[in-house]
Amino acid sequence: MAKKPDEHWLAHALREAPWRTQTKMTSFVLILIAILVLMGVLYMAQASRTATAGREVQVLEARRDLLQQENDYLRAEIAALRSIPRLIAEAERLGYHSASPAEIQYVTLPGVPEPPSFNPAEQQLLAEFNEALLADVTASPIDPDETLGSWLRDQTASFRQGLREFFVSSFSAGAGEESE
Amino acid sequence: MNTSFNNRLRWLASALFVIGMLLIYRLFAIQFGIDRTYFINQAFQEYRMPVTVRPPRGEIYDRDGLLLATNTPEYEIGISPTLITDHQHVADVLSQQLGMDRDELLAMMIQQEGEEMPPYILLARPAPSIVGQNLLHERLQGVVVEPIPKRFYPQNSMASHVLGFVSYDGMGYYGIEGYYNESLTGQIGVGERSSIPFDESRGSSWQEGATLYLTIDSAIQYLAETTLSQAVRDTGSKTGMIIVYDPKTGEILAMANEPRFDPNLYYEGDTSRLMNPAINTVYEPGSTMKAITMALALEYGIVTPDSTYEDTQTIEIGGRNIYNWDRQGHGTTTMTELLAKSLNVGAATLSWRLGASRYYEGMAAFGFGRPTGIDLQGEVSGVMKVPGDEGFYDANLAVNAFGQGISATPLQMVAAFGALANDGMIMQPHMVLMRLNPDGSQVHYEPTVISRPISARTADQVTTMLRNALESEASSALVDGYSIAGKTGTAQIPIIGGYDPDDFIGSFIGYGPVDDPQFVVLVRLDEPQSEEWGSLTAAPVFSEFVERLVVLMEIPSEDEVIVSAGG
Repeated sequence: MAKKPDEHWLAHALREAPWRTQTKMTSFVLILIAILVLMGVLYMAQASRTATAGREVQVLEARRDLLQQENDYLRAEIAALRSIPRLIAEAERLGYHSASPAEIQYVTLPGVPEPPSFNPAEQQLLAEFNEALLADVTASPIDPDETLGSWLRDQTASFRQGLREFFVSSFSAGAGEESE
Repeated sequence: MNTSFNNRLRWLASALFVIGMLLIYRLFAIQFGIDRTYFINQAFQEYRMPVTVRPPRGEIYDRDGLLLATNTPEYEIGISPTLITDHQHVADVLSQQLGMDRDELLAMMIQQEGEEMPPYILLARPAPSIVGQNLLHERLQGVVVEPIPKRFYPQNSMASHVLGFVSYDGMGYYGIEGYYNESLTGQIGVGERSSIPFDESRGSSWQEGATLYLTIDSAIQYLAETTLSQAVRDTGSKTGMIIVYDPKTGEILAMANEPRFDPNLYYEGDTSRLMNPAINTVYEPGSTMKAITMALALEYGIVTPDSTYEDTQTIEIGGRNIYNWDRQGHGTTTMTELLAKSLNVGAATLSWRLGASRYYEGMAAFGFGRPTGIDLQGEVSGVMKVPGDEGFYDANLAVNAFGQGISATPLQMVAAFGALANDGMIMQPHMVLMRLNPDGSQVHYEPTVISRPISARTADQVTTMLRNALESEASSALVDGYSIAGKTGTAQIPIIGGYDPDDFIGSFIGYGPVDDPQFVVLVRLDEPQSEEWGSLTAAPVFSEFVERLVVLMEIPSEDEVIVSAGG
């Protein structure tokens, strides 16, 4: 068979062999499959991790609910133990008794507000009182500080004042002459 | 041959292609098409279950933060026999915890020949908290332990009529639980939960209930209840009641009834005992009403504290003869003596001189005939017939003056006396001091004046007269070291066709200290057997109670030497 005139030697040299085309096709398909498998594996891994996390959340929620129930139960038990009838019975067992008016002595502490209370209205009044006290602490004749330190300070100040008055009354005439 | 084979292959390929296309179409139809909703619903039914999230009910505390009502789980306990692997151990534990027969439990768990095993067998509902907790810690396979929320009242019967109760369906009834049911319940969430771990649950959000702080002082409440229980026993009374009210703020410090009920066991016994007699029932208050009649007579200028009247043995008003309790005439009588001797003729004279219009106008201003508006469920208004009402007779004006023919709740009487103690002003009686919302915000209930039936001057005059009346009679209601104003009452009990000839209601309403009243106390004893007069039954109980009350309220006696620290 005679060689076709338009078939150049270069084209002939570059023409792909059939086995090469088949290899390329196979590689492409294999790569595609590998990518799909990889995607599947990644998806499965992700889904598995999500499911595991979800399951852990469910377990933790169940544990939280259980702890909540235990907490509620313990709160109720504490409240029952702190109930007034039980406390009074226990106090009486220990030898205490309810005070009568004759056994009460009232002591007023100038400037000391009543102890804090759960009563919100009283708490608000207390807060307002404290605020007013702090704002006007220098002008107020009330000293809410009843500590030992403040008592000593008061005593020292009182002693100094007495001493000063003594000197002033004793030597005021001479001092006046000197200053003039 | 070759061509024919190729043709067949082409046909087969075409057929497979068409089938493939149909399958793809069907897949798309299921995934995105008209069948999508149907299959989604089918799938949801498989792995989603509807859930109702009932948030924790708000707690209730007294004014000092003592817990009065909280939530604690009870449990439903059952078994799924097919899931149990260690029958012996499960039977041992359940038998020990539930007190059931071990062999009976084993018979439930092990399949008998010819019998089909039920998927679930209920063993106990409700089971106590401690039993459920123990079983949960055991982690027994095949044992189902489901919590059931339950309201728990740690103080048991204390303040039971104030609190009310919560039924198993989570609804509050009576008292605070009934009145504030919506606030305490919170917002219930409705949604669905998925059994697929990575699928999120859906539904409306829920919000827990508000926490309430009451005006009740538990120490005073306990004192009132123990004092009352003792008094009911001592006097052989059928029932009794003590109410402590702060006349300046309207706060109820204690509301005790005898008998009480345990709200943890509300379902036991007669349902009538669940009602709060202080607000849910009425009575004819009797002579305690004379203090109110006197206040109106002074307010309208009909009399002055120094006025006198001629007390005859009887007076006829509206065709009815009114007698004193002793059926005696007392001659020229002062207004204070009228109160001290509790004279019906005098009280009827005052109301008659006032006239129906002014008298009932004043009584309405004192709050009679309408509810006080206290925040407790089921308050009734009482009955006060006025001219024009069916069944009103002229004699009503006379008998109403000494507390007959008119019905009121004990709380209405306390609030009316509150006006005498608080410069003529009635403060709104209330039970809740503060509401703490789930978002942390607080709602404080401020003292509110609901009416001013009399002036401060009249209130002061009546207070002085009541105090003098008690002291002149050396009343057993007096308290050493404290000036008390008050009035006894011995009320008849209306029955069909008249009044019960044998049984009475003895009561005393008093307040003090007179210079700066800080409490109004009502003591009521129903059908006492020891004595019939309120001055001999309720008044001594008042004295005994107030003697301890002033200690709890830290009210120094008037002759108390107060030590001044640092002075």
